Amino acid sequence: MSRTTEPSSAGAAPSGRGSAEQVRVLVADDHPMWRDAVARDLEDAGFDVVGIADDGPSAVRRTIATRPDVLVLDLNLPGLRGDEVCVALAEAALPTRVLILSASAEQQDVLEAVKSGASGYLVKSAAREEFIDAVHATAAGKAVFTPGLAGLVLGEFRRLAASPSAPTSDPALQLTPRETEVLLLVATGLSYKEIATELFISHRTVQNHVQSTLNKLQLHNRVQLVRYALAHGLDAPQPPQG
Amino acid sequence: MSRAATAAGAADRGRGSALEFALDRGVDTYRVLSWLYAVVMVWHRLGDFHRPLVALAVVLVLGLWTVFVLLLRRRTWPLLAVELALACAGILLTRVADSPENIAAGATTLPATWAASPVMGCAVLGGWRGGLAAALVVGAADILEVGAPTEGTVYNLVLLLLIGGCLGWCVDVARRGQRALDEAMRVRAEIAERDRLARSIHDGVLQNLAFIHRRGQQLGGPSADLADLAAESERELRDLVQGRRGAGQGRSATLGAGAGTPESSAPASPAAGAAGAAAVGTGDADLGRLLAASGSARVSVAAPAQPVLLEAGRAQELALAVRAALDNVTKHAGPDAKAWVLIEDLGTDVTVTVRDDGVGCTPQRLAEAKDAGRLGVSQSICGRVADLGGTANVRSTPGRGTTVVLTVPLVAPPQREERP
Repeated sequence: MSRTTEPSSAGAAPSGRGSAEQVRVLVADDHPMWRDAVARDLEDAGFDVVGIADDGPSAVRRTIATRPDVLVLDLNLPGLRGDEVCVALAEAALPTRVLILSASAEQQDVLEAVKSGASGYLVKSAAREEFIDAVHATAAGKAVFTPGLAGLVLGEFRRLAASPSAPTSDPALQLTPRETEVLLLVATGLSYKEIATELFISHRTVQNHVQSTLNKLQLHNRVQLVRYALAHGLDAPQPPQG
Repeated sequence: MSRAATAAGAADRGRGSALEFALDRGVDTYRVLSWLYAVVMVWHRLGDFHRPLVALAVVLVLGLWTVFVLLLRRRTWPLLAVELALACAGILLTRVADSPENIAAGATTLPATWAASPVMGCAVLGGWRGGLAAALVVGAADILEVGAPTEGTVYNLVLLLLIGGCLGWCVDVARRGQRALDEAMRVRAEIAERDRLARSIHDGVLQNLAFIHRRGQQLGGPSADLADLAAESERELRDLVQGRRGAGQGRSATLGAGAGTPESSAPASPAAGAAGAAAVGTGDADLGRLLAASGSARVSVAAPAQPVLLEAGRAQELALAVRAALDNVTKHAGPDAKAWVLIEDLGTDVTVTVRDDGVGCTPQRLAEAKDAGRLGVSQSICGRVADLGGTANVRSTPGRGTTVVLTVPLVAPPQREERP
C-alpha cells in the first residue's frame, strides 16, 4: 500500500464545517500506546478528541453517545469487525464519517468496511501529516482513497459487472467511463491534482468522481441487502403502530 | 513385490487409515466364510479321499490360521507370505489327499475358495500389482496340482486374476482419494493456524512496529532512521502474513483442473508446450499474491479483493514480466522514482499496469532502445507477454514517468501462430 500519494489529494485545506468549528473525533483502537499517540496527534492538530474506545462494541456505543464528526476506526477491533461497526453505525443513522486505519491491510476486510459505509482508508504506516490530512478530508465529507483501495473498488465493480445476479442494468449502480478512468489513475498512484491535469478537469471534479464511486459501491451494497431481504421474506409489513 | 512398494505399504499401514481397516475386516469375513465352505466340502467328500487324515489336517491348519489372523490388527507382508504359502501348500497337498482320478476329473482343491483370501490380502496391501502377483502364485499352485490344466483350472485362474487385479485397483483409487482428503484436511488445519498467527501478529507486532515508525518520525534526527527500519520490517511482516493467507486461499479456490490446457494436444510452440506441462498437476496461482511480493516502500501494489487466478505457469511468467518492468524503474527512472502496480481482472483478460513517476523518456528514445534490444522491454517484457498470447504497451513522457500496460488472456488461447 502506498503511504505517500495521498497528501496532495486528501490534504486540501479544511473546508466547510471543518474550519468553522472544531472537528470532533473519536478514536477506536485496541492498542493503548497507539491510541494515545493518535489522540495526542489529533489534539495537537486542533481536533477535539471526544473519546476513545478499545473494542468494537464500545466503539459503537461511544460513537452513538458522542456523535463525533469522524470515527478513526481500527479495522480489527476485538468484539466486532470493522465492517460490523460500520453497519451498526449506519443503522443508528449517525452523521459520523468513518476513517479506517489498518495495520495489516487485509484486503477483503477493507473492502467490506468501505462497502458498509466507511468513507476512507489509510494504512497505519502513513505519515502523521498524511493522517491529519485524511481526518480533515473525512470530516469534510471527502473520500480518502489510497491506490490500494482504488484497486479494490475497481475490482469490486468489475466483479459486480461480471456477476449474473448483479443489477447491472441500473446506471445508478454502474461506474461511468470517466469514473473508471479516474479510479484507474488513483490506483496507479496519481494524486488528484495530477489526475486533474491529465484529464483537463478541476481538482474538485476529480474529488467528486472518487466520492461518486464510493457512493455507488455503498448503494450497491444496500441494494444487495434489500434484495436479500426480499428474497428471504424479510419484507413482511410491520404491524401498524397503535 | 519391490522393497519400495513394501516400504510404502508399511508406511500406509503405519498410518492405519480407516479405509484399510475396513477393507481388512472384509477380507477377514471372507476368510472365515470360505474356511467354513472348505470344511463343508471336505466333510462331504471325506469318504472319497485317498488319505482323509491329510485333508482334515489341512483344513484344521487353515482354520487355526484363520482364527490366528483374526486376533491380529495389522496385516503385514510376512503375514501375507505365510498365508500365501499355506494356501499353496493346501492346494498341493490335495494331490496327496485325493486320488489322481478325482483330480483329473476336476475335483475342488482342499482350501477351495479359501485360497483367494491371500490374493485379497495382497490386493489390499499392495494394490493391483500385489493382487495380481498373489493371484499368479495361487494360480501356479493350482496348475501344479492338476498337472494338465482343466477347464476349471483356467476358469479359477481367471477369477483369481480378476479378484486380485480389480480389488487392488479399487484399493489404489480409494487410497489416492484418501491421500487427497488427508492433504486437504492438513491444508485446512494449516490455514486455520496461519490465520490465528496472522491475527496475533496483527494485534501485537505490526501495531508496535507502526507505533515505533510513527514516534520515530515525530522525534526526527537519528530516530527517523529507526522509524524507517520499523516501517520496512512492518511492511515485510505484513506481506508475509498476507502472502500466507493468500497461499491458502489460492490453493482452496482453484478453478477446474486443466482449465488452461488447450484442446489441441499439439502445442503451437515450445513456450505453449511448457505452459501446457506446467498446467498438469500445479493448478492455478493468484497473480495478486505473486505480485504482492514485489511491493515495497517504493512500490505500491493494488489488486482486486478476489484472487486473480491464472494457470500457475502463466501467472509466473506474467509476474516475471512485471518484475522486469519494475527492474527498469529501478535502473532508468531515477533514484527517487516510485512505482505503482495495478492488477485488473477483466473477465477474459488480466491487465497489469506498472506506472512510475520517474524521469521518463521520449518516444523516440524508447523506440531506439527497443531496436537496440536495451531497456529489457523487448524480450523480458514484450517477449514474455507475447508468449502468453497478450500485448504490452509502453508509454513514456519526459519528466512524467513511464507506464507499461500488460494485457494477457486469463486462459491460454487454444491455438496461436508462431511468434515471428
